[in-house]
Amino acid sequence: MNNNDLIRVENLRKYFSIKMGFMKYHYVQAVEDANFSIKKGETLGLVGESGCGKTTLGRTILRLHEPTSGKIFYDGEDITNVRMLPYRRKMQIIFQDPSASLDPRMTVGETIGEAIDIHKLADSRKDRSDRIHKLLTQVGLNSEHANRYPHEFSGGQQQRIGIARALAVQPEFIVCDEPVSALDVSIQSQIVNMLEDMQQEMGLTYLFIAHDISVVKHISNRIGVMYLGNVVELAESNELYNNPLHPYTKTLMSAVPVPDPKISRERKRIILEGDIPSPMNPPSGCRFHTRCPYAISRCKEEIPAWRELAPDHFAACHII
Amino acid sequence: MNNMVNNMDKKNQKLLEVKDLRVSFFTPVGEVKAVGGISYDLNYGEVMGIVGESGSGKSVEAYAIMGLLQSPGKVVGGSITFDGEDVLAKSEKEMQAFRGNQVSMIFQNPMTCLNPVYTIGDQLIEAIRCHKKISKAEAREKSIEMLKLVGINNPERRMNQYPHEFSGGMRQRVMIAMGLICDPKMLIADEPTTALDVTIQAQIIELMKDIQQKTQMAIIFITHNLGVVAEICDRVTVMYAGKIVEQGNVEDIFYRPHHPYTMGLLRSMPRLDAEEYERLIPIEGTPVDMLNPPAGCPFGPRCEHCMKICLRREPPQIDLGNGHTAACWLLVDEAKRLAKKEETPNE
Ligand SMILES: Nc1ncnc2c1ncn2[C@@H]1O[C@H](COP(=O)(O)OP(=O)(O)OP(=O)(O)O)[C@@H](O)[C@H]1O
Ligand SMILES: Nc1ncnc2c1ncn2[C@@H]1O[C@H](COP(=O)(O)OP(=O)(O)OP(=O)(O)O)[C@@H](O)[C@H]1O
Ligand code: SF4
Ligand code: SF4
Ligand SMILES: [Mg+2]
Ligand SMILES: [Mg+2]
Repeated sequence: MNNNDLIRVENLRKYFSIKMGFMKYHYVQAVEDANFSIKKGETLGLVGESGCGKTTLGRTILRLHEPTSGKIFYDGEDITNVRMLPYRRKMQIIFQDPSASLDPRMTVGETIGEAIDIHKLADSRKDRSDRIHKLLTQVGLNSEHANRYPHEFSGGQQQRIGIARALAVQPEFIVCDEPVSALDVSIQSQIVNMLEDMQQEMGLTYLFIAHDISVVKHISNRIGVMYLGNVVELAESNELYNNPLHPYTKTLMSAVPVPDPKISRERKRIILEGDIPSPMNPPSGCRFHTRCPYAISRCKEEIPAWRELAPDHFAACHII
Repeated sequence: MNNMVNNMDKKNQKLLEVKDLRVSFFTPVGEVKAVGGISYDLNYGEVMGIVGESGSGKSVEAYAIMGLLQSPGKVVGGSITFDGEDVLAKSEKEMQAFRGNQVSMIFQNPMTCLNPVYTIGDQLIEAIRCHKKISKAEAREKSIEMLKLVGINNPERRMNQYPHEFSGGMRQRVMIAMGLICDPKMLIADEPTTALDVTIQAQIIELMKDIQQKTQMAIIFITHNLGVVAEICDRVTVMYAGKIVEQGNVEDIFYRPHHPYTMGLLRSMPRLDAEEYERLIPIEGTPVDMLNPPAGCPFGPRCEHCMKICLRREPPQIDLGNGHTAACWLLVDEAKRLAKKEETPNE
């Protein structure tokens, strides 16, 4: 284990059991044997289609879901089975839907103050309110906003409040779960810039989840690609875009619309047949084999190993 | 496919003309001028993208054309002419015939339009039979043909299934099939791919491009995804706070934008093909409060070029040539310069 790593997961797996009738259970194989690390101060992006397990992976790392098997390390310590309270402050999450994640009956000041109180971070009442005002200014709001309620703010402003709340406890690691997806294009860039500034100022480490691959590529140092619970490829951002190795990554990259009429009309797309299979009953072998244009007979039987194919470029596929 | 033949014949003729359309919502706290006087034309066979901020009036404008505005929304001014007919003068009964037959609309969330208790087949057959006097067997045949066209395998078997047995992408295909089944002259697609994953979105875009080429149907494509617009639209309309701020062919809008909002929008998006990290340049400020819109230019409070006049008077639409227009005071001099250039072509 490298001591530059803030987070490391080993064979991390999360299955959900769903009750299907009397005494009968089914398992949703939401995350399957993930292996990667996140360096201190870096942003690791996570992309993949709806339901592929991005949120589950992020929440399992925070132990908001208990892992089914595998290990989670935080700053070198195995936190898979420890009491999480000491780590809760250091590990925060920002959600997709800013309005749903804020309590409508609490003022902005109370929401941020509550986070400060839980972890007993303020020495005095004055320290507490100073902290609140400083946080609000940091996220581009002002101190008089502290007395207002969430519904008095626009979506972008609500997301700023959610970020201020996460930052209030001076975290080291933040899972940003689709933090800009619900926002207007013109507001998204404000929030992305702000997250970058905060990272610089406070030395934060991010796991950045989004389905907009352009945004993820912009903000991330490295990107992991998920398909049906599997992390199928992981590499430095430009490397992943310029030199994708896994057939699914290639498809995904070719599918992203480019806002340039000439380029987008000349580009060739790889169009996948069929739909994403259910994680309750995933395909055997390589989970992508039912849709992969390059599948060979081996893909159906054997799970491809997770290998480092070039320095810091990992993928799981039989044919590469 | 009668309309299809028509569409080919009449290419480059005017199909839809919207003139100074105004739509307001009369809410308990005041009038929301959701669409504040917009004008544009659409030709037969043309694909127009409408982009713009959330709440800028894109959907409301489409509902007005379809006659689907719900109370407290009302058309308070202007006209809509479709294929020579005054749409706003039609009775509800005439509008029912108009929808589906002449124009149809597909929505962001297909589940809101598919009835969960009927099979896909029944719903498609019903959609044809309420517009065309044909037998059930013929309608069934046509339905299967449509499902094939939108790329659904095993259409005969699929006809007997219910919406919940389809995936999100397949439901959106069924919606498109339903929208096309009466060969409308125009299709309005309101965020048809927004709820879908990129790979499924790519399938639907390829499908719409393919169908458009085969049928030469006019399409209004409402979306906030500029990448999708770049790929399939001939022309683009950019809306902000109930107004059209810029309009032009797709190359003018993407390569020669003139309105500060359009420029800001294009500049603020990260590009997947960017080689090096570049900090994003956002549009500062917050979206317009439609209950208390600013005086003058609606974009004024967020515009880096805002001048005194912008806060007092609404900017005029400036003609930049080649069907490219933008509403901005900065362009008033530009317009004079352009006019001069036309007088002396060999300068
Ligand atoms: N609490 C839960 N109980 C049962 N199944 C769950 C639970 N949470 C998630 N799942 C299932 O696990 C799979 C992965 O879901 P997850 O939310 O992690 O996907 P995601 O990649 O975040 O998708 P999206 O992009 O839509 O947010 C899905 O099939 C989902 O239905
Ligand atoms: N039922 C309603 N009552 C009051 N106001 C309404 C109603 N429906 C729409 N509006 C107002 O009309 C304006 C335009 O809404 P519209 O749905 O057309 O926006 P849009 O451009 O389609 O946005 P989006 O990109 O979010 O779909 C909004 O500002 C909204 O506040
Ligand atoms: S292992 Fe086989 S099915 Fe899986 S991605 Fe590689 S080639 Fe395709
Ligand atoms: S009219 Fe003025 S405020 Fe409006 S976009 Fe032009 S320069 Fe900016
Ligand atoms: Mg998620
Ligand atoms: Mg809309």
